[in-house]
Amino acid sequence: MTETEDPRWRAAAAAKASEGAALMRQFGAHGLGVAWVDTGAGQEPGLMLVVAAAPAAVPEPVLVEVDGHRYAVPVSVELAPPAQSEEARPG
Amino acid sequence: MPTAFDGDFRKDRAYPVLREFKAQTDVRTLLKSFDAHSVGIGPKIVGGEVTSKLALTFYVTHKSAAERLNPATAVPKTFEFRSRLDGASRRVSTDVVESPPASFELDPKDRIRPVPGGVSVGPPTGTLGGWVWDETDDTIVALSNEHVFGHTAGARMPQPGTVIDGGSNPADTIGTTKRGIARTTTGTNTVDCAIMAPTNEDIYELTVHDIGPAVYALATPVLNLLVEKFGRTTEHTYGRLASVDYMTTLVSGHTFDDCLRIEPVDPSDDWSAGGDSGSVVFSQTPTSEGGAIKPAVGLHFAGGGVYGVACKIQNVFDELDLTTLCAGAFANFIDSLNASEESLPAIPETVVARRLGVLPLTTAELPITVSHRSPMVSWAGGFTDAVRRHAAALNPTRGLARDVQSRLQGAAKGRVLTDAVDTHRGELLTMLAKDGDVRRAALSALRPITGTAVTTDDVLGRVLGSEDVERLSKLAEIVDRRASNDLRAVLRELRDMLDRSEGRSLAQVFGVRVR
Repeated sequence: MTETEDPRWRAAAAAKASEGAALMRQFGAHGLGVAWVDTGAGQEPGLMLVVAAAPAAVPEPVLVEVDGHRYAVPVSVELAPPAQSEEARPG
Repeated sequence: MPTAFDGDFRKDRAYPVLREFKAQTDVRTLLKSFDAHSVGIGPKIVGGEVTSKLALTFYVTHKSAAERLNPATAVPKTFEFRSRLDGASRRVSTDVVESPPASFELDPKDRIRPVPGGVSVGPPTGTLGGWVWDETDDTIVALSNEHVFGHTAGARMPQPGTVIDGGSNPADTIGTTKRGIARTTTGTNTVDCAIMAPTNEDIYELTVHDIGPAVYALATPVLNLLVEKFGRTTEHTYGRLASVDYMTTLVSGHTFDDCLRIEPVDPSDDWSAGGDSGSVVFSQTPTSEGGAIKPAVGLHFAGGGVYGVACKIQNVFDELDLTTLCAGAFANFIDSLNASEESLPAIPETVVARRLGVLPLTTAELPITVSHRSPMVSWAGGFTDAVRRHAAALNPTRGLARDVQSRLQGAAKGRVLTDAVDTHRGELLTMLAKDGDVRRAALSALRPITGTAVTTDDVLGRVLGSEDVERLSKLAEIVDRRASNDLRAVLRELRDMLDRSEGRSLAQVFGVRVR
């Protein structure tokens, strides 16, 4: 099944659209994307929050409804510095 | 991994036989027949292990599985030949090794002319991503980031860039900023992109260094797609798409959405660094098996830690009104069939091929040089603003090819033709640029059909006579002899249509309704 056919990807995209900004604010994230997320029981389509420092709490799955079905979209946290534009800098 | 071959091969009895075979044989023809770029004598490798048996080794860019090989183009296990020393029949073994073709080493921070994609440019210094087609005026332009080229038209761009790399204006100027999409800190951006018009047609080299001819094709980015880029600082690196709708706020406060997050994969430990901004991100998978054209998926603009962030290339092309070189160049080639030959400048054939990125940087061993006066030459030789404006003024039917193409795409049979051109545009364009027979056959076959046309219906409604069919068949036959297996399969379908086309209009042949 392709990414566009699998409803779990659409659920993850819907979760990003509806809850993404709030999640980023809540966890102080500088990045957010739909990605394969490791749930402990394997990889699933979900949301990847990218933060500069580990948050105090673990984000809960985001509940969304797609085509009449409810999905719990897993959210992972990745530690990485924020990106910056990559022009050459002296030194 | 192969182990070292520790024998002295010069004492091997097979060595002089292999040397004699190689000396007697037209090696260039052999290389062409087997789609190989190099040949040498070396130990045969079996199952990844180096054996003590010497073989004539053919080096290919992509090695196909045995069951997918075409017997007509596969390297035979042995060659037999008659020795000139004693007249006896001799046999030599062969081997096929997958390896990229060699190229001259290049420091992307140096001053380089003509300029390929992947090298230092601009204030501030970033990477010239590659050369693309500006649909607003049918010219070739350079693509990079807005934070490299800026968005104010007329800003002079030196290569190499001024910061660190020592470039300066006007000594190193290669063009001026044409337009860009200004970034905002108050809303959400999707692109960081701008284009630069080259000073003249001698500036561009239509390749991205170490990656291949570009930008000739686009692909839709999907999760986990393996990608690569060549940038001014970290040069050739490899990655995978970890997210294809990535939203991020940069250190500068700019927020971007609908982007690509790229994480490095082996053998790269880091995707990018300062100075790589503007690199075009390519899929590692060519558009056709064994082909040289890799489709672009993104335009790198930022990084943090070891990961990178790129705009989606389709967003960039939509925002800046760009298309791939082939899409634009083919349409202009067809349009140029209408141009008056007397009005066209003479340009050496080798210059044409080099500009199209189909010749290596050196032309020392290539035949130089026959001057042509043909639409093809004008088409390949004059894609700067001034020359194209002049050409457009001479050609009142400019745009006809694109209109015909869009009509053909509306019919199932028409799509066979447009999809064939679309899928194999790099291969076809290379043939047109490099091969005089293909070019002359194309002109001879297409000019009578499009040469006097003013409207799309003039082209589609034209009834094909026996001479038209003969010329088109000859073109198909000539292309077929040079084509890859993939293209040959499509050509068979088109030739079947052609066999039944005499006395019918192109509209009837391709199932297009005439208005």
